[in-house]
Amino acid sequence: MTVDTRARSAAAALHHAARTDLEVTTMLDKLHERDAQPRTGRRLVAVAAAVVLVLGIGALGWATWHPHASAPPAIQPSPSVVRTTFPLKTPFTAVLPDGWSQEVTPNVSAIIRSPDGPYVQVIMDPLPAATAESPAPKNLTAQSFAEWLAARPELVPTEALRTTVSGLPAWSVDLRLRSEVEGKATCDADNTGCVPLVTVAGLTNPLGLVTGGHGRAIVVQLPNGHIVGVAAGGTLDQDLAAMLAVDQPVIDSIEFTAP
Amino acid sequence: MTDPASGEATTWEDLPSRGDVRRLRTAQSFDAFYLREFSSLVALSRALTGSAAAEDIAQDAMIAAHRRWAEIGQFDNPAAWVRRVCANLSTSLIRRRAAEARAVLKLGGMRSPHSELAPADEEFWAEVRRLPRRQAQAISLHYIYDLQVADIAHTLGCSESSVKAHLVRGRAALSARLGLAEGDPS
Repeated sequence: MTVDTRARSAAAALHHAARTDLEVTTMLDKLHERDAQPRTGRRLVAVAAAVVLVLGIGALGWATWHPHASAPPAIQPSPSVVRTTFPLKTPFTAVLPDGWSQEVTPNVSAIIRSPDGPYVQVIMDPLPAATAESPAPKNLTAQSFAEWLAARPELVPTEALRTTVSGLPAWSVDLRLRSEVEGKATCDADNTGCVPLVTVAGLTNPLGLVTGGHGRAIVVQLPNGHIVGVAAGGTLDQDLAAMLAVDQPVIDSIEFTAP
Repeated sequence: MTDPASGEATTWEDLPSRGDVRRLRTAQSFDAFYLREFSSLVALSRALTGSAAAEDIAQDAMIAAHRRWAEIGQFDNPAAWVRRVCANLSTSLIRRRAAEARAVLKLGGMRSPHSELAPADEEFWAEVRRLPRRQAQAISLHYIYDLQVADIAHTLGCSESSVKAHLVRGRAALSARLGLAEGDPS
């Protein structure tokens, strides 16, 4: 077989896949929706709404989770802000800054990604990637998960700090690999030098921390007993503070809703 | 802001908004253009990125065209412009992913929402993505759109002799890596 023959067959397969996967008219509608508002104005509104939500978290609290709770949200975001709904097992909404993209594995995971690299990944029902040295907690809660994570011997000593996401109890852990373990583990075939930390039913590979990487993991306790992981990541050329400055407004805008 | 057709731009936030009368007059033709070109654009981006983000990249290229449609729509071949933007966005993503591969919380293996390709087809495009940027773009445009040298040169904004060289070198590399005969290029 020649390169030419092989290439034409591979190109035909790509065309077929694209035609099969796409709803072109829907994508065209989305384009017109996205371009319907002035870009600069939309970006400013989105930032303002993120700030509003940070201030309003305490008041939103459980009212967000229980749609019929009597207390309405103290502060309503501007109706011109586009909140996006993510179809995880427990759905959530978040405000996407202009230009950010999303990758969703229905029911399981949503990645919200800045064009500059930082991203927020929300994972439904994460499980500890247990090892002989770090067996999984017997009673798995958001707090025990976060404390298990913080105690992983591969990490620079850290601790689980109490916080909230969508007004719900959560525990936050900053993650960085100890230098002596860097490059010695593997998350999957493409990612050597990666220490697996979390597994998720529905994702083919574990989530982990790569050599030289750092980030923040937040484990959220939902009222229905489920656990949600929120990972704030970015690229190596960004320090944690810079990364979080970009990611945190998105995290603060997250609102879980009853399925 | 870099001109999106010229190479390095990955975002279109600063593109001038040209919501003038001409845009209203050409709105319908943009929709027809979009419906005609979009799926092939996704195929091009998937060839160059191997990524589930191909759809988003194709959409970004179309958004760039939409925002300048009053101008782009007057071109003899607006498809060449949007293909060039898409090709450049796609190869920009590859460079960004190379940085991300060394970074932070690895995302883990997401299930692709796209149809799986046969292993041989996936392997072919994976090898195309290993080629130097211009070779990968030239090869992808040639086979996905069945474009000839002059059209590829017009799309990428380079000379025909450069395109010929990219195609020859690209085919030779693919032949060696995949164990295929080079054959007669069309």
